Parts: sequence; structure tokens; C-alpha cells
Amino acid sequence: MFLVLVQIITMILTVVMAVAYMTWMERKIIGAIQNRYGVKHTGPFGLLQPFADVLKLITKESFSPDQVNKPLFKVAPLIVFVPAILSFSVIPFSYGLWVSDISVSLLFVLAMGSLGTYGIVFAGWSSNSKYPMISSLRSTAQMISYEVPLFLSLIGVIILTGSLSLKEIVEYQNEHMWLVFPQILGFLLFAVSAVAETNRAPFDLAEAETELVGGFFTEYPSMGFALFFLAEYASMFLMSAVAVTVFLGGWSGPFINHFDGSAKVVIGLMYFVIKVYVLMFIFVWLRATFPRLRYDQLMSFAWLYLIPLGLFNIILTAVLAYIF
Amino acid sequence: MSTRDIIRKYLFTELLQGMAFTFKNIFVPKVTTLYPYESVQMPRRARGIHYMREKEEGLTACTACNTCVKACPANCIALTKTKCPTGKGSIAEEYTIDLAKCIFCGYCSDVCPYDAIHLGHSLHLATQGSRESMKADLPFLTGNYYTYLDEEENDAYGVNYGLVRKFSDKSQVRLQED
Ligand code: SF4
Ligand code: SF4
Repeated sequence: MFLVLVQIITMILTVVMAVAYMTWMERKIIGAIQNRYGVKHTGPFGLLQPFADVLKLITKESFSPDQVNKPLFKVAPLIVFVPAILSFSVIPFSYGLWVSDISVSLLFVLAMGSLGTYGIVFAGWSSNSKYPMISSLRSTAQMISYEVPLFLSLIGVIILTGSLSLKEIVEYQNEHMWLVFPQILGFLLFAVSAVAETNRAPFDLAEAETELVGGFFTEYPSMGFALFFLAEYASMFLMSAVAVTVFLGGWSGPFINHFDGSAKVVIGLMYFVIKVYVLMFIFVWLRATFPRLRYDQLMSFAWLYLIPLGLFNIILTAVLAYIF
Repeated sequence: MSTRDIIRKYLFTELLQGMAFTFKNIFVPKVTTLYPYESVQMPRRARGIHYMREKEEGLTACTACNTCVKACPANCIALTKTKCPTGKGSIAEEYTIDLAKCIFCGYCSDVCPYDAIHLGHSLHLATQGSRESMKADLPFLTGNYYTYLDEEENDAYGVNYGLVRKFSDKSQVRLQED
């Protein structure tokens, strides 16, 4: 019992710290791409900036506008935040290092991802003002459409490994090969849908600062805002972690099988973290490169290209798996 | 449709081109000036705090003709006149420009018939003192003249000539006249 509590607290703290420093990294990387410095003033290289931001957010007054539906308004950020953090519990961070191993962990991650959408719907609806409303409509439509190709892209993997457990998927890859090679189409589909699923640029229509003043969290003050923010970055981390686990071999990597015991755990963790951060860099890189899509383009892209491609991928994988 | 077009359309090579471009930009030197820590090099045409030319050490070129006072749209120049200690004519005894009112239009330097008042490049106007401390008096203005001369000698603004020239040929003529 006590051990589980320690595990949970360690994990939540790790995720929150990683998210805090992700905001720092994002500002630095985007700054560098735009030939600027990014954050610089607070601490060496601006390293204390996340703490300054958090301090500012938690000391703000927790104010809610008159027109909102109070209970839903208060609970919406939690509904977004909790599933985003909860999904980390089934990710195998390294050889033998996870909070819980359930046999359907892949399904669990996807289910939690879908739950987050409700938070966004509640936030937009309960804010009772026009921008959050439009934004939450957009983002639900977007997230529901992009969940389909996201799931479809993972079915190929399930066919190959014959398992829904992330732990077993990684072990399969450790024995055979990284699934990105036989499932390259699946990986690309997953990558595109993951960007859309996390509401990141170039698919960030729901949060379009320029049109919708921040989107569904327009009305949120202090911690409510911070929770949405944390949830967005946590789900970026989650999507990267799932992509790494499912397609890029998780903790496996060169020479990992020559070690055992705690050395294997440490090296596995290192591989995992490096891969996750490479993917996180790509997230930021995409944001710095592409302009936002138009809404109808976004929807037709999902339904006309990604979903047929996902179905094609499943059939192809199934046929090939049957033949070989 | 050629093969090339098909590849471009369906493999999204343009997206990759864009990403390669932004990635290259990471290694381009930064363009930001870290302003409070580094000084900013103003372009030579920038109009900043005034200076007053001196004919010779201790004798300003101003003859207190009042032209600048009349030309000033912000009404911020005040001067009093006195007899010139060496020879005939008159000079300004007190000459103050209220920098808090001044809009840095440069009319005073344009109209001055004796080439006395000029606008320098310094933009550091902030002060912790009162409104009074924004008043630039004669010693201050002539002092600025010598800093300005030093800067010219050390070519402190040289780096920006190219930029100025690029934007306006007219300004180049003016620069040469300076
Ligand atoms: S720059 Fe313009 S406003 Fe300033 S003192 Fe000269 S004439 Fe007056
Ligand atoms: S600065 Fe020039 S225009 Fe102004 S009073 Fe002196 S000589 Fe006349």
C-alpha cells in the first residue's frame, strides 16, 4: 500500500516537473527557430521561469465569472487533467519499471484519452460564453474524428504482437524488431492523429489564440487555467510515450540485452527518455513550422485520407501476417 | 501530371522542406539585442538628445537669434540673450530644452541659421529625478557635442551606414552633407 503511494506520488511529480520544463524547452526551441533567445532572464538560461509561472498562477485569485455553471466549471479542468496523468500509470518506462501492468493497458490509454474530451465539452459549455463554446465544439469534433485513425493505426500493432499489454508489446519489440519498420504507415498515421488528438499546431484550431482567445479555457483563472495547460503538455508526453512504447521499441535499444538487473533498468529508462524527448522536440518543431489548418480541411483530412489509410493498413497487415 | 508532381502531392515533400528550413534556423545566430545588458546601436538618422556645437572652446555657435524657439512645435526651447564676451554680436546666456516636452522633430536643427543646435543619437531619456531634471541646459548640450565628436571619431555608428544607405539614397546625400 505504502509502496504504491510512493510510486504514485513519484510519478505525478515526475510528470508535472517534466511538463513544467517542457514549457521552458518549447519557448527555447521556438525562440531558436525564430532567431530569438526565448526565456533568459529568470535564473541561468531562464531555467527558473517555470517556477515563476507556476507561482504567478497559484497566487492569482480564483475567480469565476457570473454567467458560468459553477459545478461543471470547477470540475472540467479535473476531468481533463486526471485522465491525462492517469494514463502514465500503465506506461512501461523501463525494464520492470511501471506503476501497474494491466493486460489491456493499450486500451486503457486510449480510453483515458477519450475521457479527456468530456472535460473540454464541459469547460466550453459551462463557461457560457461564445469563444469557449465554439472552441469546445470544434475540439470535440476534432478529437472524436482523430481518435478513429489513432485507434486504427494501433490495430496493426495488435495484430503483429497479439497482445494489448504495453509491456508485452515492448518485450516483443525487444526480441524481434521495432514495430516502426513493419508498421511505418501505422506510425505515420499515429503521429498525425496524435498531433491532432493533443490539439497541437498545426491542428490547434480549438485553442486558436488568434481567433478564439485561447479557446475553451478563455474564462478560466489561476489554477483552472494551469490544469488545462498541464493537461495539454501531459497529453503530449503521453502521446510521445505511447508512440515510443508501441512503435519505437520502448525501453529497448542497442546492447540492452547485454545487461541485466538494475543496469538494464537504468539504461532502458535512458533510452526511453531520449526517445520521448526526440518526439517532443518534433511536436515543438511542427508548431514552429506550420500554420494552422482551416477547419473543413482538418475534418476532411481525417475522414478522407487518414481513416481509409488506416483501414488499408489493417488489411495489409492482416494479409501479410496471415501469409508469413 | 509528372512523376515529380505526384511525389510532391502525395508524399508531402513540401512539408519536409519547410521543416528542414526551420531546423536550419536553429543554428543561425540570434538577432535579438539584449537591450538593458547590451547597448543598442541606433541608426545614424535616429533623432535623439540634442547637442550644441561650439565654435571654439567655451563659446557656443548659437547667436540667440530665437529662430529655433519660434520653429519649435512643442514650445520647449527657452533662451536668454547676452552680449558676446569676445567681439560683437550676442550669444545665448541660458539655453534650455525641456526634453520632457520635446518631440524630437528636428525642426530646431533644420532652421538654425548658425548650425548650432543639432540632434544626437542618444535615446536614454529615462530619469529618476523630477520633471526639472529633464531640462537640458547649455553645459549639458555642449557636453553632448564633445561626446558626439568622440563617437564620430571612433565611428561608433559606422556599422549602420550600410543599413541607412540601403533604405534611402536621399539620406545618403544628407549624411555626406553632415
Ligand atoms: S526637436 Fe522639435 S520639439 Fe524638440 S526642441 Fe527641436 S524643434 Fe522643439
Ligand atoms: S540655436 Fe540656432 S536657431 Fe536657436 S537661437 Fe541659437 S542660433 Fe538661433
